[in-house]
Amino acid sequence: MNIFESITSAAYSVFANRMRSILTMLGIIIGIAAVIMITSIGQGFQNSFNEMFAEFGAGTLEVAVRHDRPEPAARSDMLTLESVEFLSSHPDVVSVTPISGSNARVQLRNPTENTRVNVIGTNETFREVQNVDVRFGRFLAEIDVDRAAPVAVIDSSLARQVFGRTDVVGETIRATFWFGTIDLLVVGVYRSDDIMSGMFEMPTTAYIPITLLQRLLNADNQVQQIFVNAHDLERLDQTASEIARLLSIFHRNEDRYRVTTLMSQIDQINSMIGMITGFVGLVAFISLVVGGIGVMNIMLVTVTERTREIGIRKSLGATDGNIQFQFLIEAMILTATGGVIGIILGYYGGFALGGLIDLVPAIDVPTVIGTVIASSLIGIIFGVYPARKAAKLDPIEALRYE
Amino acid sequence: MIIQIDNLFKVYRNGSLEVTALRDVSFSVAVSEFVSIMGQSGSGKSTLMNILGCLDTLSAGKYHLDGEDVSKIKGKKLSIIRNRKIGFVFQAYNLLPRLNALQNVELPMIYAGASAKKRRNAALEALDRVGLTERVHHKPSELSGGQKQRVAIARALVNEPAILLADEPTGNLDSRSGEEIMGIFQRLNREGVTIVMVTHEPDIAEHTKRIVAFKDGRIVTDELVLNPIQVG
Repeated sequence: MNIFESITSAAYSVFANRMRSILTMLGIIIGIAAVIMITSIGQGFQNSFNEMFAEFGAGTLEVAVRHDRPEPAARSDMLTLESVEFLSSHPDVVSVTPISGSNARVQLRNPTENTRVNVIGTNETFREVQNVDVRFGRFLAEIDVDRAAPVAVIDSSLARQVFGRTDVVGETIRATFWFGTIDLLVVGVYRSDDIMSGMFEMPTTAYIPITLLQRLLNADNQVQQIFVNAHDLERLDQTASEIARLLSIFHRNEDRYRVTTLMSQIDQINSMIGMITGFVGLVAFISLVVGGIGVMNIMLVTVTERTREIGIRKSLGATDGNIQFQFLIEAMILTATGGVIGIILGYYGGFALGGLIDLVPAIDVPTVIGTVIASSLIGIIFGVYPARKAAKLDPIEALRYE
Repeated sequence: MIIQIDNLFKVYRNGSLEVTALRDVSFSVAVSEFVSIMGQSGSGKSTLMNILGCLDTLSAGKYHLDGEDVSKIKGKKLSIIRNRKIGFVFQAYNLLPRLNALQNVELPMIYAGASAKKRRNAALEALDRVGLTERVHHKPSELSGGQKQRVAIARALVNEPAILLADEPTGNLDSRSGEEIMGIFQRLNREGVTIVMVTHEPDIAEHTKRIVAFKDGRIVTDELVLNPIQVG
């Protein structure tokens, strides 16, 4: 008996029990569709995340003082504007951006109310590190930093809270830090495109000159972090270790600085998304296994129902192998057909779900091939037991079965 | 000899209970014989048929089928012997309901590994031999009892087996259809087909050339039929 005949004959018998076959396949269909949908949404999320960072941050290095050394960091180890100046002279470097953070409360229209604002002290090159979508006025300029001018670039939503409108360049906001209050001239208004701040009530961010923040914090020359943009993306890792080495020489210490690429942080986030996708995918896979058990259950019923047929076939010379193969192929047709339908549903389901959360799902060929193999394997795994049971039937008993 | 059985025993064990279905049976069937096996239920005739048909194994003794000792053969080899050497005809026809007449007849050849074209030709020829040239594309549910049994006989013949084993082939049929079936057997027998048939109806047994009677697992009589009833 050749394989092609086995398949057509098995397909025939699956088709003869249409309703039952469809219900049996449903478990597989749902399982496969769920796996495809979840992985495509996860992959789509990863893609859009990577796109967001592709423009900014690809060549960015983050410099920070290491605090995991046995001896605590000395005052002389701290990063300063001199360190920034020193790194700027390096030939591989495009820009050097110092960043320090603090927070303040900003007085609202009603003088008795205020709101919390993250304050970032930085310089004019910050926009090399992160996109700031300035809608009105301008971003911080070199002159602001040089003079430690009391100016700020604020979020449009803060502008709306304080002034009831967004075109507020030239207005003044009153910010209260833990050490005192200062009036800041608004020189720019930007629109944050951060998905997170839209979803959660998060404080907005205001940018002020780093020199002003240092003066306010009484922090001498210190900066908390430095971002370095490098020329050569290919040599990013070498540049990173070189910067760490040069800074140690500059500050006369040893191995005190950690220089990481933003890429490596993006990779971390990516692997986190991957883990979440994998976990949810695993849950979906479990439902696939449950579907497989459904197939096994129905195949056992089928074997019992067709006991007499098995007896007849055996009396005509079917070997145990012939019988086993026949039922195995039937189980595989059920799961493979279910798999194909599941892939199609999962594909369109992914787009439907992606449309709801404004995301383009990404379906990769290996996932599809993998799920096809998985659904066929499930057919084999859960089909073997009923098929073996059928093959082992005693022909005399089977012929007597009513 | 097509069938040569020597000192055959068959013992069933059901827990501690032992039932001897056949005791010391020796019996042979030559080429072109037409034998009926008679006996009441429990006489051992069905057990003998199962052993002759290689569906059951024997407990002691020897069984040679078409010159080959099949006493110790098991599993896949036994399936192949069933396929090539034996053609079964059952009381309840045992056709597969989802297949049409032609497909039912082709079934043994599928397991023999014949090509589709060869199968079709052989199946049509076998159906022709049993006088069924019409309705070959009908399902068993659309055929009469006599037609179903003809399909079953064609199926038994299609691989040109050494022997045709029929188990109460007329048991489910009215007397006219029964006669017809016996006529077909007689014609096949004249063409050289060796047939062993189990029946409990003396009228039917009188159509064969030899009657072997069983009682309590032993052969009690083994006689030739002097004037078999001829059909047609």
